[in-house]
Amino acid sequence: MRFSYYLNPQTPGPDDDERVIDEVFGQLELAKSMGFTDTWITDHQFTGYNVFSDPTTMAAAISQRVPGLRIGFAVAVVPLMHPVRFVTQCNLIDQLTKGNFVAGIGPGNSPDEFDGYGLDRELRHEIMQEFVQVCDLAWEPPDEGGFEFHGKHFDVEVRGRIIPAPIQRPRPHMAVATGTPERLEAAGRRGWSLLLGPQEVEFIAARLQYYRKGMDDAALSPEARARAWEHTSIVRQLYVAEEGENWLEELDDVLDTYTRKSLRANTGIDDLPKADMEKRRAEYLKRGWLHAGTADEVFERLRPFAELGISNLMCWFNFGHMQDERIRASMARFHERVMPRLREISPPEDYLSSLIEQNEGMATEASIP
Amino acid sequence: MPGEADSRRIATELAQDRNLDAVDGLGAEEVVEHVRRELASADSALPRAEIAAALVRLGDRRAGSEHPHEAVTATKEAVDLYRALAAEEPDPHREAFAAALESLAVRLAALWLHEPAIQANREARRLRRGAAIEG
Repeated sequence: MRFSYYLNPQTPGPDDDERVIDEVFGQLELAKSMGFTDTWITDHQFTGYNVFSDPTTMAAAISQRVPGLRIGFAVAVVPLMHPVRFVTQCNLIDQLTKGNFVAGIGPGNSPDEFDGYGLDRELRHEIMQEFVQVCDLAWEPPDEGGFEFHGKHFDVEVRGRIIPAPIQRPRPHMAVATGTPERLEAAGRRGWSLLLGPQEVEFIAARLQYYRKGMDDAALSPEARARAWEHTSIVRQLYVAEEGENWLEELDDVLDTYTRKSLRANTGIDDLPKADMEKRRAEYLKRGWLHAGTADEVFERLRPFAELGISNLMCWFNFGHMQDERIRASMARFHERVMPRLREISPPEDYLSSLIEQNEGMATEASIP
Repeated sequence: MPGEADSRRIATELAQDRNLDAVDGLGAEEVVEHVRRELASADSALPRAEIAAALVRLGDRRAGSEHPHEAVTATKEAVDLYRALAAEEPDPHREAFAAALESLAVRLAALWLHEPAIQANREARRLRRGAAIEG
C-alpha cells in the first residue's frame, strides 16, 4: 500500500482562501518528506467545499512547488469542461510531472455546479460519454492531420495536433469514479483505474467483480491489469489523535463544518432543521468516510484495505476547516505509528478473489429506503 | 391483524390530531399501510390533504427519533398523496406539495441519501417556478 495526500480542503470564506492555499502547499511538502508519493486532487466549485476549485491549474502549481509527487485527479468533473481543452491541459500536466500523472474523471454530482455552468445535471452521464469519445480521438487521432467529432454536446474539428504531446503515450493513464455494473465493466475493459469512495471491503469486492469481468472480457494484458490496479484507490478522512485525546470533543467544530459543507456541495440544500442535521452528523460518524482515533484504532480501520491489496490509500487530513497545526500533528502520528504497520501487510494470496466470490451479486451502490 | 375499522380509525385520528398522539405507538410503515387501506376503500371520505399534512408532521417528529428512516417513509407517502391531489387540482395544492418535497429532501439528506434528496429538492424548485404537475 502506498499513501497519497488527498486534497479537498474547505475554506471559511474569501478572506481565508490565500491562507488555506498556502497551508495546503506546506502540507504537501510535509507529506512528501514523510514518504507520501502522490497527491490526488478534486474538483468542486461555488460552495466553499474546495478552496482551489480548478484541478488543472492546481496540478500545474503542485508540479512546480512540490516536484516529484505523482498527481492524480480524483476526479475532474468533465461535463463542466471542454474535452479538447482538457486533453491539452492533461498533456501539459503530464509534461510538467514527467509522466507522473493520472487523469481521473467523473460525471460530477453537485446541483450548484451544473447550475453554475448552465448545464442540465440529468445529462451528466451522457455528456461524459461524448466527452470521452472526443478525448479518445484527441489522444489517438485517426491520422496526423487532426480529427472531427460531431455530436450532441460537442462539435469539433481540430486541424493539427494537440500540443504538447503527453509523455505517457498515447495518453496519460486514466481513472474513473463510478458505481454501476455497466460502467465498472467499461472501466475494466479500458484498463482504467478505479477510484473508490467510503465503501467497506465487501462493497468494494462487489464492485471489483464487475471491474474484473470487464478486464477479462477485453482480455487485458497482465501489464495493463497491473497498471490499472496500481492506481486503483480508496479515500478516507483521517485523524490520528494523541493517546488519551478526546478527539470527538476536540473536533466538534470540524465535524460540524464538514457535515454542513458537504450537505451544500452534494445536494444544493443550504441547511437542515436541527434534528436532521444532528442525524446527518451521526450518520457521517457511523459511515466509512472518517477514520479517527488513536494510531492503533486508525490502523485497525485501515488494515482490511491493506489486506485486500488496495494499492493507493488517499489520505484526507485537511477537512472541516481543521487548523494547520492540528493537521500536521495528525499527519506526523500517522507517519510514525500507522504507515509503517500498513506497509508491512502483505495481502493474503487469493483473498481478493475469495471475497469477490463471497459477495457475488451484491449491490454495487447504496439502496434507497 | 388489524382490520379495516382500525385503518379508518387511525386515518381519521391522523387527519384530526395535530399532535399525532394517536399514532405514537405505531411504526411509520404501519401508519402508511392504514392510510393506504382507508383511502383505497370506496366509501372513504377523509380529506386527503389533511392526511398528507399529518404525514409531513409525522416525518418531522420521527426525524428526531432513533428510527429516522420512518421520517422518510412518512414524508414520501405525503409527497405521493400531494402529487395525486395536485395532478387533479394544481393551484390549491402546489405550495403544500412543494413544501412536502422539500421536507423529503431534508429527511433524505440527513441520511446521506444525496441523489434522491437532489431529485426531491429540484422537483420542489420546479413547482415553485410554476412548472406543470405530472401525476
